[in-house]
Amino acid sequence: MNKESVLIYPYDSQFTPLLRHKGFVDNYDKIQLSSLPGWGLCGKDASYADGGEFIGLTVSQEFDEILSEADTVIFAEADNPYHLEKMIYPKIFSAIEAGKNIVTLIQVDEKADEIKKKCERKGVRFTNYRENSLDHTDFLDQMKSEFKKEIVDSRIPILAVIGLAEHTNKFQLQLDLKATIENMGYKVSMVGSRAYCELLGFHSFPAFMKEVISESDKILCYNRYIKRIELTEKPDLIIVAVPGGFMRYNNKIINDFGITAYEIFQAIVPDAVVLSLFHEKYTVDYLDGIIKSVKYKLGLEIDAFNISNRQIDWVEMTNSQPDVISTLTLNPEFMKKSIEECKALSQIPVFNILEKGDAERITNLIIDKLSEIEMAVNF
Amino acid sequence: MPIDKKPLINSFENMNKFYFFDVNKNKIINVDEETYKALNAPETTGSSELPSIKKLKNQGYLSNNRVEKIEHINGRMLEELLGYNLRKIILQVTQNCNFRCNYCVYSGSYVNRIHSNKRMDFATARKGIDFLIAHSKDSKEIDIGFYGGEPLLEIDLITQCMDYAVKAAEGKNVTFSLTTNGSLLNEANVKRLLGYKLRITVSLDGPQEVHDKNRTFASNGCGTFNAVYNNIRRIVEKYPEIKRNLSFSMVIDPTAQFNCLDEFIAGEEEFFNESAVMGSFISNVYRDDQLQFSENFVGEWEYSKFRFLLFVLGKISVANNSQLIRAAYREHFEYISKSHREITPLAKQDHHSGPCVPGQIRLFMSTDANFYPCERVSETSDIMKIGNIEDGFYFDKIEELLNVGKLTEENCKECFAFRNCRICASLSDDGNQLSKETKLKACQDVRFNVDEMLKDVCTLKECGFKKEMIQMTTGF
Ligand code: SF4
Repeated sequence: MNKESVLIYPYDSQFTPLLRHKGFVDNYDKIQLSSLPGWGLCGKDASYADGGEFIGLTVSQEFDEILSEADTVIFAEADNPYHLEKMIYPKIFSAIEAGKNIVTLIQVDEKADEIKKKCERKGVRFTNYRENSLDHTDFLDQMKSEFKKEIVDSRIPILAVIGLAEHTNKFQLQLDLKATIENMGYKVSMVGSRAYCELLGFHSFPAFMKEVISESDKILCYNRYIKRIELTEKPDLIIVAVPGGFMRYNNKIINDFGITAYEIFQAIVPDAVVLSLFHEKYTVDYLDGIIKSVKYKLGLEIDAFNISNRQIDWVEMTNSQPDVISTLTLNPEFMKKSIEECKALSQIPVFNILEKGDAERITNLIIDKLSEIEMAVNF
Repeated sequence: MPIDKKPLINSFENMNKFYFFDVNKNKIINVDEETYKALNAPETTGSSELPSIKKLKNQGYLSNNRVEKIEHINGRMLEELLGYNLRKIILQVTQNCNFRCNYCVYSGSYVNRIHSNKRMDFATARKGIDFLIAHSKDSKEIDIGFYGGEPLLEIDLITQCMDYAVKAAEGKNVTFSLTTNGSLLNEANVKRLLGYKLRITVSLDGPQEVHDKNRTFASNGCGTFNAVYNNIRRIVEKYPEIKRNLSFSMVIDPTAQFNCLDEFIAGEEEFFNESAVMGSFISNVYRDDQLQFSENFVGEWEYSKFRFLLFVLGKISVANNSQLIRAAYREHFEYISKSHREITPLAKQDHHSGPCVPGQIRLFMSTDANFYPCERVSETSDIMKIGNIEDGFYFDKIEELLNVGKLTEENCKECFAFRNCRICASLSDDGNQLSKETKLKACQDVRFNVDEMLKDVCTLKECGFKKEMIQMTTGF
């Protein structure tokens, strides 16, 4: 089958993990990236967005000019703020007009019908990955029919990927761990932390976790959901990623008070845990505090730290007290040095997923731990 | 006791009570006289420690923890901070001005900095804007400032720059700012500036007799007050919405009367409401002669501050609540609103507060496209030249300016003002080099002010002041 050529818009750091993921890149014959000039990425290699290794794709400022070369346009979710009416919809409509297939990872609810109709009329495909239809009724009905509202244990090892906050390279971590473990010959199922993971062939974070149902029902549903994956997909390992962070940062940035993370870890008990952190000049006491906090809040023992190449922008956070955490990208040479310093302090192994070889190193560590568990005489 | 074994504190008396400020904790503690005396004893005689001191130590107070090496943490990541996180570029669109202000850094009272006919062309300005965009991928918003001389002499260039930036920075929240003497803020010019996200700061020093003393027209030496005042009145009447984006910068002349400045602002309620008024004293930095505060001025200033405190405490109802006085209490209220927070003790490697990363927050680009940390430093001072549009940043120089604390390393390690210091490289520049002597002079002011601030804060507490009053009465 001939592979398609794809245009990604509006490109920024949120999409970069996908460009570093063979499972995505191999699907396409050609990938083009278009971004907004003010985001500071145009004319640069795609890796400028996340500060990782060179990718070899240049970000363009043009859209209409490069549209003709694409079969499909992916309208991606972005970390930068954007204006749907001004920046997204007009581009979607001009792409349809130009006869391109449309994929939306961005939430287009209010115009979804219009886009669908226009696509039908034009005879092009429209795939909306934000139509996450998985609701709670399935699981609650099942429990009702079984007259059992209880947690069921998993028989398959679970690896949990959590992040102290957003923007800690957690998505990259999930993708790389999944790919590396699969390369070792294992079958992996994954529930990712984003809402459009089906694009990459695994499960998105289930919509029922954001529905207005009781918190204990959410926990029960999530538990059943993982069980269903276990039974239907029969993987060797399930990776479970937690969206967002799990610690209130300040009075304004609350990271949902860690409620989602808490609920997930009431629903399942992971066998291994990797925690993503911002970069910081850590001290022994600080790292110790994090380990304790995860232990007592979520009941988890951390097996590895992934220190992301992003650091909180303290000037911005103190001066303007924004609603979201503002961060600064750190260069690879800086990270190398800093990770070495951090390794000397930490009792738990420290990695940087953007560093070549670290995905394999984390994987080996996890597989070692899980096989130890397997050696036990369990029933 | 060897000095480095002593607790890092500043003890002081205030209104017959005894206190110490603990640098590691950034907190003020009220103690009894006996404890106070013990803390101030030149040496411990080997006798046992007072129970009160023991208790404080158990709670983490009175630590002798000190910074061991003065080194700014941001020095390690200059490439990143200046590569991805620039906030603003200030374009010096012209060095020319239609005013000749006595204290203006360009007017001759200051070392080397003088007006000239140098102006910036659009090609250079555009490169500056592109530079900002290319170096700010991690900044949530960016700002482009226009500075002079008198920037409105180049209004065509300014609007051209704003049009270009709006397009070139599509997707980013871009704002603009302009610092002007106000004489050219006529209707025709203002009309051209409407519609941009532009903040205008007008220099206005007070009532006519004060303003005209220092600010005169270059052409005829006459006072400029009427021209500025009438312009503002006219445009505010015609375009009331502009008020929100207008602020006034008042350069306070300490040889004048303070009361008349204060009364001017209070009396011109309609003129100044909705607009911010920022006061600053005439700078002594880079100045040939040093200015002396008149006795009258100091007396009136202190009295007004005192009345303001009484007002805040609800002891007097008449609001001597002018924006100038409020600004004098900014640091106090900042301290009070954060006073309950636990903070980590001083790190082994740290730098006193004060310096920002040179160029990151307010990169100043001169007419000939050289870079300076901000618009307040002299572009004739060679040490302040931190790059240019063609070569980019000179990181070695920037690191030296950032680590200005190294000049006075030993003093800083022992200084109680370490976390509340305001000194940066600009206050340490003697015109030729970073100078320890120049810096130590500035230290005296900082230490005096921090000490006073701590005492004022204790007075406020004694009088029943509560954190919530800051917002309620003062509009901070
Ligand atoms: S006042 Fe002077 S000695 Fe004290 S911290 Fe500031 S620069 Fe250092």
